[in-house]
Amino acid sequence: MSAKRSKRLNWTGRITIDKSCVEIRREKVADDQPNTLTVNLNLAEYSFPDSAAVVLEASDRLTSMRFDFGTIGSLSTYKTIELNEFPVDNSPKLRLLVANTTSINLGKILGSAERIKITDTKTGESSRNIFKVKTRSDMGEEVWRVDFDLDDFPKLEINKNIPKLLHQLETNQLVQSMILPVAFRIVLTELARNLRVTMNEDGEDSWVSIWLQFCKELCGAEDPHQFVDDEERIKTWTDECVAAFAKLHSFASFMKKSLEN
Amino acid sequence: MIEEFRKLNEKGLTEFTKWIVDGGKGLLPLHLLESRQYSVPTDYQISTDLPVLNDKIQFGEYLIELLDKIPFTDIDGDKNFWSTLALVWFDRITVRDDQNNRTVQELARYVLSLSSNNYRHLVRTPWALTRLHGVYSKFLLAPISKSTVQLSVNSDVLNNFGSRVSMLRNKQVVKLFSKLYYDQNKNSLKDVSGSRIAGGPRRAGILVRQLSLNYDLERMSEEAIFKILPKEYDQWKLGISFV
Repeated sequence: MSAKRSKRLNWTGRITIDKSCVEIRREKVADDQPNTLTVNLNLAEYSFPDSAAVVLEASDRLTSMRFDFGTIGSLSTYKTIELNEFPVDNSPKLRLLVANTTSINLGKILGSAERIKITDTKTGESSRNIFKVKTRSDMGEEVWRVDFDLDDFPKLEINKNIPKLLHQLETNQLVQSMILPVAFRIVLTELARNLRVTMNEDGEDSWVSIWLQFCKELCGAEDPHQFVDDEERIKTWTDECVAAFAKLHSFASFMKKSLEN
Repeated sequence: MIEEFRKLNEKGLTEFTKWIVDGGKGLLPLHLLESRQYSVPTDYQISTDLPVLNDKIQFGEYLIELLDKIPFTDIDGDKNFWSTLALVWFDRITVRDDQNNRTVQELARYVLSLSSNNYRHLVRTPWALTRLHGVYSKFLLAPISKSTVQLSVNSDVLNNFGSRVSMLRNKQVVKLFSKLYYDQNKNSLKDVSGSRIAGGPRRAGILVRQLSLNYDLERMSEEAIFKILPKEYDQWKLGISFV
């Protein structure tokens, strides 16, 4: 599943820094060495005050590292950083922040680039998946579930102890038809619940914003921020999106055909 | 007894998981740690004799000392390692009912989840929070009642903070809320019970989330964050000072 982004209202007043201004590449290192990244910044097109501080933040669950890039007036535009507080096989989330350093509104975020993708030096590729599938071995008798972390995209978790389930989910439309529409509905329900908390302030890079954009492209669904307190309309909005998703993939038709054979 | 520590492999973890899902009955499956089929040796020398501990604050401090020779990046996200410790200490982190049966709770408390609910693990979390926040982790680990098995429960405060992990890892935020919710003189949690209490832990999660949209909280001192807390926190601010 992928989605294009579009500009949305941003009530925080902070500037969304275009990701093309932040180039991060993973350098090839030995397998047992921490990830090393080279970071190139180009913030010349933005008019942040000279005193504003620039920091790159890497985080994953309880661990975070921050790398200081100086101030706008004295910016380190190129730096090599080592993610030595993260396990070697870990890919933390990366965000660039430009923050106020003066005593009035100290710490206020003036601009940010969220969920920056790392380009692999070897392949030159970067990617984003808004509904990742992860296998887990600790799910007991549960077959699948949706996991939410407010700072990341929702994940569809499936039981690793069921051989071939991942393969079936990727290739078998009968299996897809039984799991994906329900999982999709769970995500939209959680998304609707979060609307009340975050309103429009999450920025266009939040998972909520990107999923809303996906729904809009899927079936022209309205932005539910407009009727966040109207439970009936939220339910209708969810139903319409799930129906459009099921229609796009012809789930019922595939199931009918499979059961007839 | 200090011994060479063996940890469950994937197969062993699956067996341990099955045993928990089946209700955790009978003998602990410690045989998994003696079998090459279910466990692997490690380089760690760890004593698995757990002393008497009154609460999770002491548990966290004990674990920090016990594991201080091991680089934290080696074990931090190692679900096999933490799940093994949960197995070894299973009877210390579970309660028993009137019939003396173990009351087994959700799996994530014993088998480290790699998802957003991994803060619920009963062994790793006291270690991780004490390592990150030192004495300021006390309000997250403090006892919530006179439960006789303190190590088996997660407090509401931890559940409210833990479900928003960016808040749990933010040193300044944890330091500030430690000052607000923990009585250093009495060495105990203030009365933070009640889901709708003004400025209580449940509200804190939402508030910090909103503040972090506008502020780089990691850059700010706890005093600077304190100053931008809304009015509903006034009752908690009394007597708070910053040196």
